[in-house]
Amino acid sequence: MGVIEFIQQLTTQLMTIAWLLFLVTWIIGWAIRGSPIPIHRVKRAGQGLIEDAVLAAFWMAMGSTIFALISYIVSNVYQPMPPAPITP
Amino acid sequence: MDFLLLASNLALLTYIIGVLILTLPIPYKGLKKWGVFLIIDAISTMVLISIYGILLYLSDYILNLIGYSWSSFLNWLVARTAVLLTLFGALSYISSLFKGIHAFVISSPINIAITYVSLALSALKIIYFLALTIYSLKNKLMLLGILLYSLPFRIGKGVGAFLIASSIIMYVGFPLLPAFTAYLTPSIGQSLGSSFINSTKVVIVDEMGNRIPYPILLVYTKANEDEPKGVILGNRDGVIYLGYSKDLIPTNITLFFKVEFMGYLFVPRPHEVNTSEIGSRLLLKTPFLLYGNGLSIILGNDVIVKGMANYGDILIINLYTQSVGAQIKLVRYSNVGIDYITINDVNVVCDWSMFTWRNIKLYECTLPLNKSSNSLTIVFKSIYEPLRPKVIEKRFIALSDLTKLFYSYIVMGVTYLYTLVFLPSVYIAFLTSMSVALSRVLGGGIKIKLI
Repeated sequence: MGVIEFIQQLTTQLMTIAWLLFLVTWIIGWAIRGSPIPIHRVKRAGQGLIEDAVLAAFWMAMGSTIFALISYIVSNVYQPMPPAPITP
Repeated sequence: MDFLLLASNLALLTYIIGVLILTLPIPYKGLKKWGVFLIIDAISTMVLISIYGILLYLSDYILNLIGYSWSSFLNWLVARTAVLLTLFGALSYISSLFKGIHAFVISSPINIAITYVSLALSALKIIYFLALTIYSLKNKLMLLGILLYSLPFRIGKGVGAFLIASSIIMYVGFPLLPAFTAYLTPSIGQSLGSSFINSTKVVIVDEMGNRIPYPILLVYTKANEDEPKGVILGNRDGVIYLGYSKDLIPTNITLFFKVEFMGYLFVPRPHEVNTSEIGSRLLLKTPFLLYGNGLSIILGNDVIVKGMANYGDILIINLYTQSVGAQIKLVRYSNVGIDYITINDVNVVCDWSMFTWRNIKLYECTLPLNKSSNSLTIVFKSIYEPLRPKVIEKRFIALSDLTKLFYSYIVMGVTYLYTLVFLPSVYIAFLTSMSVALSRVLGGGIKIKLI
């Protein structure tokens, strides 16, 4: 198993874990937010967890899209430059 | 491009880790901030990977735009090395000339210059090594930089950015080194080792071309000098080796010679010689002197030698004079025994008187000559070996010319030290600080303190 395969495998595993964590966080967030505890700060923490989880899920979903976009933009920008002036 | 694939995978990994940190159910701001950092790092790494081709092209482009090339830089290095090696060789040669002369006051400046030049040579070697590393490994350095840059958690970000930046800056910067040093270098006058004649063999003969044993050559630098600059004893065959790591004679100087032999001082022909005309052999003829079997015959300036025959223990000399009362002087070593002397087949008695010259005993007498032809026959008792006079030699060193030369050598050494050690160090420091600045632009926070 080469380094690249290892990294790819690691990435996939981490991605799975991240999705799971997203679910967990989302659920915990809602649980805290919906819990019958009349403390405002606790509810806000729950709200924060939900927001972070959703944001992370968004970036995770967008990940490959962002990378593809960068490659696309750069390959469009990278036109062959004019040849450099040759000094006599 | 394997490295690039690896780097892009690492970038993706970094990204995922960033997202993972964001999703963690821990409501701690510091941790979440790291997630954002990692995502940004991954994106910037991806940008760098994508513009790898542009980065490679950029340095060549800038170099051509400025108008310098690596080939001319390498040629400059080779030329400098050649000059330094020549100088080193010349200095070593000069230094070797001093091996025979125990004058440390003179030889120590040369050694300083040699040290300087060898220092400059090693500095040049370092420059050469660095430049070749940058030149041949530029792409690999940049790849390595990108790879390090892409490592998660900003492990190699600073170093990676520095590698990328320095591979660009150094690649452009090194060929500019000659231009940088050229403006700050004083011109160097190149008067190298050829300013001294190598060595010459001086042969001293009498009027008839017979070699005279153990002559003492007195060397002057002015026509009417009292004190000779050099006092050198010749060997049994009348040969004196001038130079040969014992004497230092500049190429363009006029030397005046006198020859001392058996208590008398002779002015040889040629009397004055310019060193630029001296070849590997110089013949000095001492007029008014005849030598054979331990006896020298000193003629007056009104006596002409018509012929001379040497049969070992018999000398027959034909002399001619037009003046009345002309004389010759005979000088013999104390060990030389003479059976009889005849002039025109008439026995003559010589009234020998002793004198000491340079620790050897000599006998001399005066013989009157007839007008017109004289046939002088000297019959010895045996064949005799010449005696060796005791001389404190003084080898010839033209000091006035030397100081100038030393000065120029030391100036040259210091100049090379300045050009090839000091200036390149400053320049490399300058390039490094520029690389650091560029690496900051690329996102590395590496700090190099030069001082």
